Formats: sequence, structure tokens, C-alpha cells
Amino acid sequence: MATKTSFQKKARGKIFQIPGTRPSLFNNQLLVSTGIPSLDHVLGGGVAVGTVLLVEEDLFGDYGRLVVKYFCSEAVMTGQSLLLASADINPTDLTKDLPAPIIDQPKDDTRESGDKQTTDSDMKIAWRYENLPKFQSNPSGIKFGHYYDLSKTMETRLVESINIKYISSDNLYTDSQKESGGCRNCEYNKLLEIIKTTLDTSQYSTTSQITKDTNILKIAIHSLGSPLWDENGGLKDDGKGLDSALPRFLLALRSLLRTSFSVGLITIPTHLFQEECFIRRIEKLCDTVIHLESFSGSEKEKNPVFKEYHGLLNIVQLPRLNSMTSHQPDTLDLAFKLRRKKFTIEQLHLPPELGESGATTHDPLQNLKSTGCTPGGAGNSKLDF
Amino acid sequence: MLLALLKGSELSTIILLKDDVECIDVCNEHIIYNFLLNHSKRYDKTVFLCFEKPPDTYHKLLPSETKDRVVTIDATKYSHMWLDFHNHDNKLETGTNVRKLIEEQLPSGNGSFGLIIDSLSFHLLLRPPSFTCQFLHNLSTVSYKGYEIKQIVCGVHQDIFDSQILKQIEHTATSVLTFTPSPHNNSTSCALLHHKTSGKVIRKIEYFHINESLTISSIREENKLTTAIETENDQVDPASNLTFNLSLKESEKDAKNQLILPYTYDKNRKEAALNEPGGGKIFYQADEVDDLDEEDPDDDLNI
Repeated sequence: MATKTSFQKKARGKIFQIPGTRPSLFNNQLLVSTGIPSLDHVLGGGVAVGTVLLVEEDLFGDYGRLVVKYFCSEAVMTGQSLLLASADINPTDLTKDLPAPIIDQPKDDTRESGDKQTTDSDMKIAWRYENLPKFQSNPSGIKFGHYYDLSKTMETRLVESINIKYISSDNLYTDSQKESGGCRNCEYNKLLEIIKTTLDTSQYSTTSQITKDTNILKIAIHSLGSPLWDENGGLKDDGKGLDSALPRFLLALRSLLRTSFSVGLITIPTHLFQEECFIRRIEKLCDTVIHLESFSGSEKEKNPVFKEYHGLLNIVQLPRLNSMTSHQPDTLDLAFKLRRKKFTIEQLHLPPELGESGATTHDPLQNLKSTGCTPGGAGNSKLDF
Repeated sequence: MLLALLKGSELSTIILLKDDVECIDVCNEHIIYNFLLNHSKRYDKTVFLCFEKPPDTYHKLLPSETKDRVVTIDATKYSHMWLDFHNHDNKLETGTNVRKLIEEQLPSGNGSFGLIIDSLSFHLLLRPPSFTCQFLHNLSTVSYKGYEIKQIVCGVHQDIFDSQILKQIEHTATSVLTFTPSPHNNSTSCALLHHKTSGKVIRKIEYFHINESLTISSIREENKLTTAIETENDQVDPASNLTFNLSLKESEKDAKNQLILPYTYDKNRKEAALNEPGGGKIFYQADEVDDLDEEDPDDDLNI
């Protein structure tokens, strides 16, 4: 009897792990990857489940689209469900050229044959290792945050393996005006309705028990609030006064997501909105807000300081989830780079100064002075004579 | 770049031509004619929607062999088709009326097809800008009677709209050409903003002339890159304001180059030194303080 204590192990281990998620090291919030590991790192490990990530698009929308594609690819690789909406591009076209994953270990079905091949061939140099037992490095199969190769497109077989719901502008036409109710913009209402029914019917609610089948719904909305969503730069039809349709939509979406296993990624071309306060209002209604500022076509493209990068990443807002403080990244000077194969976010560094500018040519002179034996050197050193 | 867009060697789905009152006839009309001419050469059918001028003003200038490939629609005659104020709230109808109009006029067939709209001003004045954007977007994504749409060219007078409206239309377009009269020698400047299919964005200013036969000539390009480099290079030359002479004259340079410095090996000697057999062997006798034990390099330190 003496060995029995009141201490009980916390029963965390019994909860099924939802594929493609991991608890945050920071506040134990369940996180989902955006598909860009470097962005995850900046945002504190990933996007928390139940929150909305807003990406303010660059001037031409190219990088915003790329972020959406990475987000979709990650959903495919982790087997999560996806709801993809876009009015500008046909969403089915968007998933046609998703970046292909870089798989360092072969998938389950090909692994066995691969193993046989390695045992057949003899090791010539490190032959001692041949007799060692083999370890499976990653037994869980699905990991968090994949790397993708932009130069290759993902196989359609792979894309079709997950549950994707496409919403294009055709799905959003309402037959009659009476549905729209108080809100002017019926596209938003319709989209909200679709999201709500998807959440309700497929058990993404957090109130239901977590089972083996519990999955994450990723909601990606591309270029929301562009003119094709019937948005007039944040203004009402007559150009007078701010239109409240988009803020209302975002508020409703956020409240829907809060109680569900879903994550939202929204890109908005905020540069099209006339009023600064309207943009601020939208930012406040999302949890995490980042702004992509592309150099293409701007003066900064030719600035030697930014030679290595394609644009700046401004962190506008980071979420405070179940705490008073938010995650603070190491630095806020961030830039993004689009290489042939990948899109990365890096800390903004100034390039090494190799040119013969004023500062470098003066240096040798100063070194000479510091030796103390230069005649005529008007240095402060006591050794000077 | 202007020529590449005209000739179609640079792909662009929606081209927006912006002009103002100062160059309304020089540019917009002549450029639109040039687009019309190139479209008719390039595509199987070209539909020309005229909202401002009677289409004959353009049509009669076309060479006879391309005339039958151009379908001109005088939109002022069909105002009941597109001027549907009462219906414009109905999203289903966005652009369909113009599409209906085009389909009515277009003979059936197959192949490629281009659309030219001389002015979007009416649409923009009568409706919110998002309507026009959707209308353009819808027109660019559907096919008509077996024809596949390749390009939409549309003009807009930028001085009668505020920048906010223009911004939204420009967002929908893939290329934006802004025409302004250029101050020197009667040419016209065209500020290009082209969004390539690869995702690259090109921003350029080009100057051109339009001669009597309405062809575009003498395209000159303003290169912004060179101006940027020049500003970088105008640092002060440190050798310019010295009391003594640091620079060399040509003759002095020659004399300097002819001088052979001591210990300089000429070619023969260098080869001899390189090919010398068995020379330069190093014998090393270990010192008593030498520590040849590699194991612990710091064991002679008393710490």
C-alpha cells in the first residue's frame, strides 16, 4: 500500500494525434504547417488550429498565389482535407501545378523493394555496417512540414488522394437576391454558407470526440476581396462610405473556425483598398497577418541592398492565443527569395560590400596608424612619435 | 516591347490602353487600329466592339485581305443589349449580355479569336468598377461558338476616372500601356507594365512615332537601368584634388611597363628553375623543444 501515490500520469498520450499537426513548443497550441518551413519558423512553429492566417498580396499577386499553392501541397502531403476558393483563377487550375514534394525516404509501398536492393549490393568500403540491424528512422510516416520542389509538379494521383472541395465564382452565384439578407455582397455569404455546411457535415467540430478519423480541414481562399469578388476597393457601390461586407465575412469565418479543427489561409490584395482604416480593420479580424512586398517592377528591384532577395516579408500581426503575449520572432527584418526550386523566407542581410567604396579604402590607412611607428601620423596613441 | 505585344510574340490575355485627352487621337485610335490590324492577321476572327466611334472609321483603313476576318459591332446600335441598368445586380448576367451580342454577330467556326473594345468608359461610368472587372474576366475565360479567345484589348480614358477605379481595372489586366505625348520631337511615350506568364514583371517606357500610313516606327526605349548605374558612379575621384601628381601620362606608363624589376624571372629562367632536377630538398633535424607527438598539442603548457 505504501507504494501507491496520489500522483497520476497525465492522460495526454491517449489522445490520437491528428496527421500533420504538432503541439507548439511555445504554448502547446496545436499547429499546422503552412507548407513553407521557413515561414512556419517565423510564425512560431506553424499556424494554430482554429485561426486565420491573412497574407496581404504583393502588387501582382504572384507570391501570394505561391503561398496558397504551398499550403495546398502541404494539405495533400499530410492527407488533410482542403477547401479551396478563388474567383480570379479556376481553383482546379490552381491544384494542377502544385509543387512536388521532395521525399527523402521512399513511400511505404516502394520501401520494401528498395531495401532488397540495398542488401543485394555489397558494401565495399564500409562493409562493417552491413551486418548492423536496420532502424526505421521515422515510423509515424507523416511528418510536419515538407519541403517542395517548385520545378516539378505534383502528380494528379497524389492530389486526388485527399478530399478537396473547389469553390470557384460559378459556385457562388446566388439565384435570387432574397438570400443575401442584410449583407450586400452575396458571394461572401454563399462562401460562408459552404464553409459552414462543410464544417458541420464532416465532423470538424472540436466538441466531438477526437477519434482516429479526426482530420484537419484547410481552408484556402485566394485573392479574397479582389474586384472579381464584387468588391469595389472596400467602398460601397456608389463609392461613398466603407462597405462592411468583407469585415463581416472575416469575423464570421473566424468565429466558425474557432470551434473547429480547421485552419484558414486567406490572401487579400489589400493594395486595392482605398482607405487605410479598412485595411487595418481587416487585419484586426484575422489572427496572423503577414504582408508580402515584392520588388518586381518597383525601384527596390535595382537597389543593391536587396540584390539577393525578391521581396520583403512584413509581419503585421502575430496571434496572442491563450496568453497575453505572442511569439516574437528573432527579427522582424525578413525577406523572401524565390529560387528555381524553392521559396524561402530569410533574415534580411546586407550583401557583403565588395565594391571599392569609401569605407573600405580608408581601412588600411587606419591599420597603419595603429602600429604606432608612422611618422607624421597624428594619432592619439602614446607610442606615436 | 510595344511591338512584341502588338505582334503577339509576347502573350497577354487582357491589354489595357490608357490615354488622356492630350493624346486621344494620336494614341488610342491609332494604337487600336494597329492592334486591330495585327489581330486580324494573327487570329481567325477578330471582334471589334465600338462604343465611341462608328466602326467604319477603323474598318475602311484595313487592307482588303483581312477585312472579312474582322467582325465589327457598333455597340451604340445595340444599347439595349448591354445597357441593362435594371438587371445589373444580377450576378448571373455579368458580361453575358455582351457575350450574347458577340455570339449573335460571330459566324460559327473554330480557331482563335481576339476581342477589341475601343473604350470601357461607358461601362465604368455607369456601374461600379468591380462589374467591369468581372465582365472582362468573364469574357476572357469563355469560348464563343467554338472560337477560343486569345486576347482582349480595351481602351480607357484615364483622365475621367479616379485612380482607385483605374487601379482595379489594372489589377485585372495583364498588360497596361499608358500613352502620353512626349515633349521632344513630336513622339509619343508609352509606359508599359507587362505581367509575363512566367511571373516576371516588366516596366518600361518607350517612345514612338506614328506615320501617315498609321504604322508605328522609331521605337526608342528609355533605359532606366543605365541612369541608375550612372548615379552610382559619380563618386568623387580621390586623385583629382591632390597637391602632387598621382596619375601617369602615356609615355610614363610605357616607361614604367618596360622596367624590369629586380628578382623578376624571365621566361627562360623560370622554366629552368621549374625543371631543375633534384633541387630544393629540405632536410630537417628535430630540435629538442620540438614536440612531434600529435596526441596532445597542449601538454607543454602549464595550466
